[in-house]
Amino acid sequence: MSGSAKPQRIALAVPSVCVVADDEVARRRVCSILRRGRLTVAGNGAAVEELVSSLDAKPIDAVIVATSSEAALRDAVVNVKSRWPVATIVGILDDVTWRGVRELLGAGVAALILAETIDTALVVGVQGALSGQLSLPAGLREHLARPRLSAREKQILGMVVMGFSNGEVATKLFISESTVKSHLATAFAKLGVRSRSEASQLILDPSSGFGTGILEISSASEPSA
Amino acid sequence: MMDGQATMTEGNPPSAAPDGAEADALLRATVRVPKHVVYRDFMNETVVLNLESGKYHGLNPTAGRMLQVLEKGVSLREAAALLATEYGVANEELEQDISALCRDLESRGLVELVLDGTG
Repeated sequence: MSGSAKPQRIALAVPSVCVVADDEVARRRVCSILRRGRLTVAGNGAAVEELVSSLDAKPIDAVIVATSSEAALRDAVVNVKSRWPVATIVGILDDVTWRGVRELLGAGVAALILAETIDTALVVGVQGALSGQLSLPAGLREHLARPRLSAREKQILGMVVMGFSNGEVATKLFISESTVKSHLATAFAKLGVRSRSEASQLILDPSSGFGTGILEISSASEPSA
Repeated sequence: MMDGQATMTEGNPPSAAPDGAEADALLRATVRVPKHVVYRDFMNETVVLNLESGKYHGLNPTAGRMLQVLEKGVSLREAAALLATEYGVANEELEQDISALCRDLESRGLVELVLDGTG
């Protein structure tokens, strides 16, 4: 019998990841979890610059960045992107806000893991991100859908965005000022903002917000309260 | 057309120009801003919000100034005369511009035209 086929050995590529965390204890813990999850930790450092100096020219598949604030993470992500434009970026934070998540996704983060969940969520988050999936804390679910504002909330927000005071809004809409405040509180909660300036910024900033289209009133709008 | 011709953004283009009699009637009309409309002047534009549709519309400074004058209750012709002096252009030119603007605003539900014998 000639030409019996030899089983071909297939080399499975093991993703190469790096870790950046200014807290050394956290960094060691993250590296340990990744190794347990059969990921190769090619390097780690307290900052992106330190990581760069410790690495050779090997390609990097993913960079895991743990920081104490969304702003610090955003800065680190920009830094990572400038050095490894195609690397997948996974962020670890103690807490995330919906606003911060939007900005971080915009900056290029593919997965966000809460620090308290890294034992169970980090490896699957990294693997999902490397497979082209987004991974976010489930607690953000209700904020990721387009908020359903009532027609009245849209009217009030519409005037707030234009700079009208609560008193002016109340007069124009023939409702009391306390009713305006109540509608605004509900609308702010739906939008995930804490103030009229944050609401205005979210609605008016096309890069991180919804655009004024979210205030358009149609038959699909929830009825006014 | 005068420099700084009145323009607005969003929505459909204005309808075709009316004939002579209709144009004259329009120039005698006054303008009323409906209760469901609010507007505010900003540095480079006037933003008009239709509270029924939730849509914003932007007027350039010339159109914003026209709306400001018209809301005082003067006719389109009187507003055009005042603004022609202000901008140093011919009355006829401004009458055409202000008429076009008002037809456009009316088509979007942003103003009501009060013709002779109405309102």
